[in-house]
Amino acid sequence: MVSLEMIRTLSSILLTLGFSAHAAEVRLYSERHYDADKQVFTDFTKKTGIEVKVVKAGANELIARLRSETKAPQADLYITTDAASLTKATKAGLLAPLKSDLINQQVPAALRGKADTWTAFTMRGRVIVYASDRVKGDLPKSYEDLTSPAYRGNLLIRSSTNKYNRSLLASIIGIQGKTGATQWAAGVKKNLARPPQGSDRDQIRAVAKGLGDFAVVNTYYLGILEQSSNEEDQKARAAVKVIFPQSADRGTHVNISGGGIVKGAANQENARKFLEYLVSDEVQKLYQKLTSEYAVVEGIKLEPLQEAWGEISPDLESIHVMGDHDQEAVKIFNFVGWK
Amino acid sequence: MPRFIRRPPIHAGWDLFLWRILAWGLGLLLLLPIIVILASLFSPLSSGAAEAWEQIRGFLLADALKETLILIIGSCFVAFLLGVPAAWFVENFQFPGRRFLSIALILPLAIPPFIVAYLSTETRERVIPFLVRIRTEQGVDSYLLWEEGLRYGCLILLFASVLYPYVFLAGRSAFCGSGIILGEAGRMLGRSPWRVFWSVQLPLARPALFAGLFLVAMEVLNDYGAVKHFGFSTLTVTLFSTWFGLDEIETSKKLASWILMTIFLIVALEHWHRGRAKLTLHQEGRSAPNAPRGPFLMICCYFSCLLPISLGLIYPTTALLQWFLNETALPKPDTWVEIIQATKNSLLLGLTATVICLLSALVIIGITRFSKGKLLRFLSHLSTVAGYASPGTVIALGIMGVASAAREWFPLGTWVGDYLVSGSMLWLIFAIVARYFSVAAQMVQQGLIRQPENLDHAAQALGDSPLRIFRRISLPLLRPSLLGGATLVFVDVCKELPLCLLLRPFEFETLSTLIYGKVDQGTIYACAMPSLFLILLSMIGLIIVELNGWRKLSK
Repeated sequence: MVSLEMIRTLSSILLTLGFSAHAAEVRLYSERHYDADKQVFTDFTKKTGIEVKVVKAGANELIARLRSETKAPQADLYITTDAASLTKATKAGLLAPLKSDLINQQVPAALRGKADTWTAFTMRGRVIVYASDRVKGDLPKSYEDLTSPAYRGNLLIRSSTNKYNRSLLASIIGIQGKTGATQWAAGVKKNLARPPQGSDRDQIRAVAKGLGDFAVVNTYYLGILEQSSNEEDQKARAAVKVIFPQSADRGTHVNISGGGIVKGAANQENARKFLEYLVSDEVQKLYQKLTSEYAVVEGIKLEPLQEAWGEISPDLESIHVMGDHDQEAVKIFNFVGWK
Repeated sequence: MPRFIRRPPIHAGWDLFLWRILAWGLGLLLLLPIIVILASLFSPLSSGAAEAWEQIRGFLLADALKETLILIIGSCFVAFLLGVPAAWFVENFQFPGRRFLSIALILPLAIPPFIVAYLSTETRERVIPFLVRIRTEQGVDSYLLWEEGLRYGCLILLFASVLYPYVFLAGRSAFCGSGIILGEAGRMLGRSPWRVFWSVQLPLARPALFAGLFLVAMEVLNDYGAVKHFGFSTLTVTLFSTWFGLDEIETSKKLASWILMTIFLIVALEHWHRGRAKLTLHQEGRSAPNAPRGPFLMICCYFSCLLPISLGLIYPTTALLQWFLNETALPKPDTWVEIIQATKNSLLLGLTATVICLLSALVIIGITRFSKGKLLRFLSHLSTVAGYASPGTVIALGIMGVASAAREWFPLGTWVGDYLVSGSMLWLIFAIVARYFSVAAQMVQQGLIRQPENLDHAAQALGDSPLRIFRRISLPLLRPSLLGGATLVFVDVCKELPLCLLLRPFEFETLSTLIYGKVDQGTIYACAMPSLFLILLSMIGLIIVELNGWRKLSK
């Protein structure tokens, strides 16, 4: 028996096959999965009356979709959590120039696309955490230190298939070349306490439980754990301290959440307004509070939670070269057996 | 007055001709994704793809093969240990609670392996102090060995605990019927129950048990979520990462074709070895067995049933309910909307796929029954095996190949292009039907095998055309098989992860992709509610069919 509900759901599925609607709206293809974004969207709609429609999927899926829609784009804005994806989208000719003076004023040039095709709106660092009660001796100060044989069986990091690790290795390729990067990846793999599994959060929990003394994680996970209502999460956060890895030739690896306007989109002006809203001071402060990501606009005061981590000197140059070395990074991971 | 006086051959008439065309068309369509993949076995690779292929062969393939084989063999072995004794005791003895335990023994099928993998995270964390002690006392190498061993052991136990029902069902259908009669003969001649089991019933059950174990092996091969969560890189995970990591579709297709060839080889060997196996959800027309003699056998009965149930049903459900004690597991209003939508999507996908699978199965298997054409029989036989023997990722790759060709022939702007081909819904449903058609087909086939051909001959002698025979005789008799097939397809589609991840349309989350997404983001407790919904959905289906089967038995 065909019920009304089924017909409704069926027709909504068929409709998402691609009719473009008309009222003031901006349609996002976004890789971000954070609940906090919903608040940002509602605030934007309240302020401007423009409705925000989101479609969430992985970066590669979204780019494939955009490629197949170049003649009739279904989205207005492409948002991702990895600079390499934005570079890829730019190279594929999928993004239109932003042409926004406001964005140019607010966001430093290092955090905007060179061809003015994208801008960052949050930043996250990839840092080392260590068990504060167990680790007594020398602490690793840079990413290279992680390959030291002293840490054998003590290092926790997630899978190489994750884009944060790929971009980290891509940045290392950019600075030290293929050979240096291969040596680093091989060294890290040798020190793993277990084959990569789980998310960054699982790595922190494993450090807290004692499986390994060090882990490489994104900074915002520390905020998520600290603000979590789960007791285990809070205990895990309390058990670790943060190191911002730096060396002579680079600062701490950072990656960005950013967006660009889809070329030929129907609501380009709304998309521009949305991006400008995202880099406004109030939203930058909100992101720091809600998701513990760093603001990209200068002069925004850090949350106390973030200040407790320590001071970050981000490696901003690598942001633009991560996309160039992405494929190479995957090959190196396969070569050294970091799964 | 009968229309025919002489007896025509059963495959008479050109009125069947159109149906035969339809059967051919459907059969070929269902095999299309597999054909696309197998074709790439012979096609040369471009330079970029060749380089990626060298990479895979050189660094990834050996490990992937090793891990896949260990997991498959281990899971089959433990599933055998869990499923066979339970099946034997349930079939051979009557004891209080037998019916209830029998239904409970099947319910772990409703729980997808990846959910149990996520549920087991906290249990596994409790092992960490033991591992740390090994590391401090015996050194890093010993620790790494233990860590790997425990991980393998844990995942194998996990797979076996939710997949043993396939072996249990196979065993149940194999130990009944002639097995019981010969078993009773053996007992009358003085053999003990144990010797009867070893020398009579187990060898007789071999074909069916192989079929059940094959299903377990295919499920393990197809799994993506659980394997990934445990940090293993099986062939399926490697396929995923080649496709999305290296971005090399050609190389992925090559890898997929090799995987397919290996599986088909195993299937061919198995077919050659066994003949026809039966896999049913209920039995009919058998006398009730006796109560076990002696307390030892009574204890064995209960132990053999309760062990699999505690591993596969009680542990996951208690772990899930414990998650609900965690505050973050309770969904906020907008997460509720997400979950309800995902449930609707899973339901819709499941029902659509089930209906299409059953209709196709009826057409293909039904036509084959009335047709003496060898080629059609071969095609139908192939299509009943090929889909399930192919991992979901392989089918998804094949479908993408078909889809991109179709999108070229029907670009945007044409009616077909706009509404059918450019979206993803059509392809997702196509892929799911291609994969699970064989489940429905096997159920229909078994149902039809049970109907003696004399019935059809009698009807035809009285003047019915084959179509009328099918509609008025075969179809009503097939109802239990259809119900069983519908449930199995529905449960399988609800649990399906890799296909849905790869082919879903935008804004289309099923319960399984929602759960996977939440774990991928790190908010693992948030998947408690969707997991509960998924398990409940599947369990309700399974319970309905099992109760139906038992009701028939007790008549």
